[in-house]
Amino acid sequence: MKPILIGTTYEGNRPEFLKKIVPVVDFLEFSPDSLATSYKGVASINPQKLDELKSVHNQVEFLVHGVGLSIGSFDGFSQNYLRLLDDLYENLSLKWHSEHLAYMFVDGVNLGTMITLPRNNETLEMVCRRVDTIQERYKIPFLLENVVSLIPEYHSDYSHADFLNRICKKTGCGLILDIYNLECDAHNHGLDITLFLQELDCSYIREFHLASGYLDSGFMTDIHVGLTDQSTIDLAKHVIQTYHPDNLKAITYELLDEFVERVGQEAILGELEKLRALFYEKSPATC
Amino acid sequence: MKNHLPLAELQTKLLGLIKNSYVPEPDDENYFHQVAGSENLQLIKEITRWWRQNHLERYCFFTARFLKATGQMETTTASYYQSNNHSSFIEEIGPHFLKWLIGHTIGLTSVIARFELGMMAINKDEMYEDDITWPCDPLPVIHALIQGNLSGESILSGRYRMIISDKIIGAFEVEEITPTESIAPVMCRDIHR
Repeated sequence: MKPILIGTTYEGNRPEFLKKIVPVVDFLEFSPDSLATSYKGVASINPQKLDELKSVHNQVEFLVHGVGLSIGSFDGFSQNYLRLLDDLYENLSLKWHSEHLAYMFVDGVNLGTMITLPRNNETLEMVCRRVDTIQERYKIPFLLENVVSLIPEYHSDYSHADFLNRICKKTGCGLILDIYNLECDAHNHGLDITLFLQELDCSYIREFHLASGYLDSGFMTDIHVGLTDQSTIDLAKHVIQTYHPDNLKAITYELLDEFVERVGQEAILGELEKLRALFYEKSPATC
Repeated sequence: MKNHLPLAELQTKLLGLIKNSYVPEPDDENYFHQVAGSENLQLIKEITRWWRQNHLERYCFFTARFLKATGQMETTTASYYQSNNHSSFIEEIGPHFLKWLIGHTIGLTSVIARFELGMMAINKDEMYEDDITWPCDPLPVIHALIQGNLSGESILSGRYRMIISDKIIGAFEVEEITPTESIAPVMCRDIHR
């Protein structure tokens, strides 16, 4: 069993910080949207940011984690996002790519945040069709991530876990299990995490996301502002020890670029070293 | 299994609720009334506003500082978000926001947005010309915004003409236009570029 890889998010334009984190991570995870700039209405990957990544391609692996695909929009997913992903796919060696199981655009209008889908047959079939299309286009694994439910749920036919299981079974895609998002859903909507995990086929999990957020009017938000809380780390350990996600390959510490300085570069390095000590050699087989 | 609204209708109505362009009608499903009255909906609006504000503070330096100093930042960004389909890219949101401000505000807010739009264009090496009448001396205002200490004392009454041009060294010139005496153009090198 290979060790679980440890990595973090990186949005480019911090070359000094990049030099510091590369020695302590196995991979970098980045979003095409964050690496892109738009000029006169045409978005493309920023060449400087691409060069930065190319400069470390022999030292770390690359994972792509999208924001702007909007796989759940009734009127289709974002072709602009796919063009950005095409650019990265052609220029970098990507281990896998992923997106949130949600939508951000409705009829071309940007919601400004991600909204979860109702879990019924219409969305199941739509999402699966789109996952198939994506997997056909890019010959690397594709993962979907559980997203925090911000809005009260519309009535659904499937539980959270059953819906994820069905998508993965039907398409062969994998999962990012965002541990912090589970905590948010438990806090905000009473998600029973134990029931969720008992029902989830954990063999679909390829990656964990660890992050933190803040409380706003009593709601836990998933804006990645700081170091991981102990409760999130404990839950990640619990999932590994109890549910044995045999295909778990990577753990990503997520932090928004806006908060790098506020958290502090040394604290981020310390966080990554802590995660390595906790998880690197703790593959499901050895726990 | 229950009957579900088609996804298109569900998403369109939720978009309307988030953007304040839709009010549930009596024959709408109870779900939409529940969402409309929920704290969750307010939270979503707050999160989206926070993101826009966060981006604008980084990109529209002068205007964001002015809006914050005058207590208008939150209401203005909320209003902008509710009434516009914004781009995902700050390079597009920034100028779009400034143009929207120019068209939807008056006085110093509009003037500063216009000034910043010009500076952005010139910093991107675009050809640009503008002639702005300020309701006060712009230099103390610009200086105070850079220092982050704008106060009423920075806003000196008078009427001033600001010429912005990519052909001017320093990007702009300022001269007082009232009451009778006119001062020579003030070169403002290195204030913004």
